[in-house]
Amino acid sequence: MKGVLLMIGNVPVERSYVDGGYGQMHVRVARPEKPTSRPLMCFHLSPISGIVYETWLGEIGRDRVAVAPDTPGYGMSDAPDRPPTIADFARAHGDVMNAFDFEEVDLMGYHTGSKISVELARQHPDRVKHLVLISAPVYTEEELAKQYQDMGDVTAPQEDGSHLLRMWNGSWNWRGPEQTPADLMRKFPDIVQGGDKKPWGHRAAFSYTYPETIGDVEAPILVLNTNDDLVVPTRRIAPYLKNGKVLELPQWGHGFLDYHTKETAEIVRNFLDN
Amino acid sequence: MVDRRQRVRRTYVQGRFGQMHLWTAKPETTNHPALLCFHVSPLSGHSFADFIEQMGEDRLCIAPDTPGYGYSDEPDAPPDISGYAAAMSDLLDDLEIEQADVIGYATGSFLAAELARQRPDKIRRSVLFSAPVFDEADRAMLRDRFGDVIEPKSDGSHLIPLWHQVFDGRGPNQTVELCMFVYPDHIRAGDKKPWAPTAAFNCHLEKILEQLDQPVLVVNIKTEIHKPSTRAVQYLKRGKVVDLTDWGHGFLQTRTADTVSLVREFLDT
Repeated sequence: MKGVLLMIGNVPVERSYVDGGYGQMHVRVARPEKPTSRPLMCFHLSPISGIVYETWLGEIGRDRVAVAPDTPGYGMSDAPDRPPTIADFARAHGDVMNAFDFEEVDLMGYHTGSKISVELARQHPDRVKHLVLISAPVYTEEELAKQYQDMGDVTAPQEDGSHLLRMWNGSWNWRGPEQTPADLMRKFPDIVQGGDKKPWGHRAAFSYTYPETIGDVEAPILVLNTNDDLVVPTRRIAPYLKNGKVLELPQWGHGFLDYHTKETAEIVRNFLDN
Repeated sequence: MVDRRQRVRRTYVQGRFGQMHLWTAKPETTNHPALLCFHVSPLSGHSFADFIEQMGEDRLCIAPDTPGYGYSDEPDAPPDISGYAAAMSDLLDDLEIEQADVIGYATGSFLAAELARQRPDKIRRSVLFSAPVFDEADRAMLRDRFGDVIEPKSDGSHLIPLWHQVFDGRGPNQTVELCMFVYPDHIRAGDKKPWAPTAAFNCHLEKILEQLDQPVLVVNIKTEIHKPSTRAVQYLKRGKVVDLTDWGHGFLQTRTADTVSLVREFLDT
């Protein structure tokens, strides 16, 4: 758990719990001695957990409180009883925002987390000041149907363990240029846990479409478009941004938060603090 | 994924190895000693969640994730059993627990017994689900089966022997779904996974047991360490043994209510 890609000067990342509408919310937190910028909340993609932000929090937490909650049903956060919507997830993260007494906050969201960020900004327009969205896909009907088919189902366990290979290959095939088997293995426990609730995050995301929602957000939006599974649909978002832009990062893919932490921090700080 | 339960809550405390993750359950008031539950490694306190949901009706229950497993920080170097138990001894003091009973399961039995040995001032009774007294053949078999790191491969093939470590030893009624319940924790410790099991394989449990003046219940369930566990009885000063050979791995999920009854009967009479 401590064995993350620690870099000199990074702040330690601690884990804790706060209470929310669905029960306990598990959070990773990095705190500087004296914050000089607005807090940043970071929402992960499905089906994983805040573990994707561990290295990132240590870096961005040098000058602001940075929090990465596990979305309900993922990581160590209590699971909902029924399939939730993106609005439900956003409310749960709003509970975390309140538990930390963040009057103003910046948001960072990765894939499903990107949609949660947009919805949280719609729920709290006076408190959310900036959004950094890692992907913001606009799907065609055909693409959406295929997404649902590929990722919206439970991978039933098999006696021979083949279900594990399916889940591994599903992630490995979309790995970023630097990612190693050890990198994926560190995240794999959070990817495979969840049983029949595991697809709930994806299903919520597929039902929340950007054109109808992102135009409501007045706060500045920076979309980071890396070379991952959503790179093509994300290019379609630009006309729908009221106050935002898309930054193409074609040399980066999944894992960029671990392998390009400092470069990402420079881009993000420039956007959030200027 | 954690199912929300009525009573069970998770929390972190700061320990000698960093953050320690605890699964807890408690009633509003109690006159029972607390109950500390030590899981088989490389799993976690999550395996006790259903059990402590029920036991927590009448006493404070704490199931720590052993350092390096579940969501607890790992030590800088592999501890021996005495080192792991010392972290739990700290926990008793940090939480101001005056008196506690302990439960251990396989590798957790080593922690439970050693904690009872280190803290006779606080530990009252012990229930050990498997209390293996190893001979050299046992140690060799277990080191061979569970002592090595299986390096991740790009094709995912490493996941299959890791799966078989869980699936092949499954107990009665431990379905593939229940095997998948424990598999994420089984693989979570990465290259530190063999640390606590190796500490147990290297340990002479009999030398700990023969020092215990407190009452001990050994429950012999049918797993790969059933035979070594049957040797424990001769080392117990105040011991009792129950043979439950129709129980195996997964009993904390498949026989939760029976486990609760068994444990309450021993601890409370």
